Amino acid sequence: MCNEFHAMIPDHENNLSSSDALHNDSSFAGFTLNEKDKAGINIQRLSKDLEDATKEHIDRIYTQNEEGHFNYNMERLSWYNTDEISMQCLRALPNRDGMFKNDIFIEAVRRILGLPSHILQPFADEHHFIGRNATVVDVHGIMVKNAMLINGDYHRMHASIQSLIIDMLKKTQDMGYSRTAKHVSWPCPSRDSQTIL
Amino acid sequence: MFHGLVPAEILKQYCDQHSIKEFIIPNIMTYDHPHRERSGRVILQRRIFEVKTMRVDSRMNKYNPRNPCRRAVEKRVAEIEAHYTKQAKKLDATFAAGNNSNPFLSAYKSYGMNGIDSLVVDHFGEVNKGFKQLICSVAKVAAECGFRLSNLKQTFNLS
Repeated sequence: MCNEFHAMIPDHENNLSSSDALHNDSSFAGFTLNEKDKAGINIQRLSKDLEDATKEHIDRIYTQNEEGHFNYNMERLSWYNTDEISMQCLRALPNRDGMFKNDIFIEAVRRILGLPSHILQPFADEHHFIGRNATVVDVHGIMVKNAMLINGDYHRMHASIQSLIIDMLKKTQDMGYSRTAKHVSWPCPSRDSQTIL
Repeated sequence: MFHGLVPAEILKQYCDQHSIKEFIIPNIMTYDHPHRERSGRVILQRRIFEVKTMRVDSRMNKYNPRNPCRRAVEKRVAEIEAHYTKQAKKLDATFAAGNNSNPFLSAYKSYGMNGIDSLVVDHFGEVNKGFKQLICSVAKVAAECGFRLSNLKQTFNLS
């Protein structure tokens, strides 16, 4: 049966070399042809040093607060406030399964870097207004986020995060983590929920 | 959240009160929440969580670009804790005026380590220290349980 299987495969596929399999890039995926080649470690160290130096350089620019180096305070805010959790969305690269759509990905990256919003660009001309208070749309979307909207505003974000945490706890609850109860307290607290608990 | 922790007569007054604004209602409550003490012993706790989101205010009071040492999330956490403590003290003053034991405040402090656990998510997607710890502890428990489950399946040849 093995012989039959090998006979079915075309000859050129049976005689694949490592360079064919790796598209003429043998360094791809960490493969090396030389046993004693430790270049990978040096490259890693070098890239780490370069990244550290770049971080120090940008940090110095923001600390010195030189006006010419950054356009908006938002960039400065994002530099000081982002952490490893906020960077997690960069791991969900856009893919064909639709896990993270292209436009959302761009918007998320711009938000993390403190850059002007890509989607709001056509509306941020000081002639467009949003919300019940009719606030002017800004390039960073701060006013859009703060705006009071009919049928959901920033409350929606709160509800989605709350549901996410409860889901997370409930999944571990099945594994004996902890029992979770959601208070039906938000956005308008009901009195019954308090008396039940 | 005060049932079984506050004396019944005081609690009845609290439940019968007309103003819903004075209720203390956290977003999420958990029971049997494992917590590892410094001695290494694991205890089960009741915990309450308050979820808060933040936006960049136009005056940039919380997100202060000129004072980057103190992060906005940690400021918000301090505010939430202060608010809950204030509310509990207010309830003590209203319903247990002559009671020196402060039933509402002590009941509130009996949750978690010292009251509320704040979960703050900010404008740039950053979170506070407590949220990170919660994510880590949940992930650890899930990984441990998954590992145990796979071991059991291997032992008993379950699919």
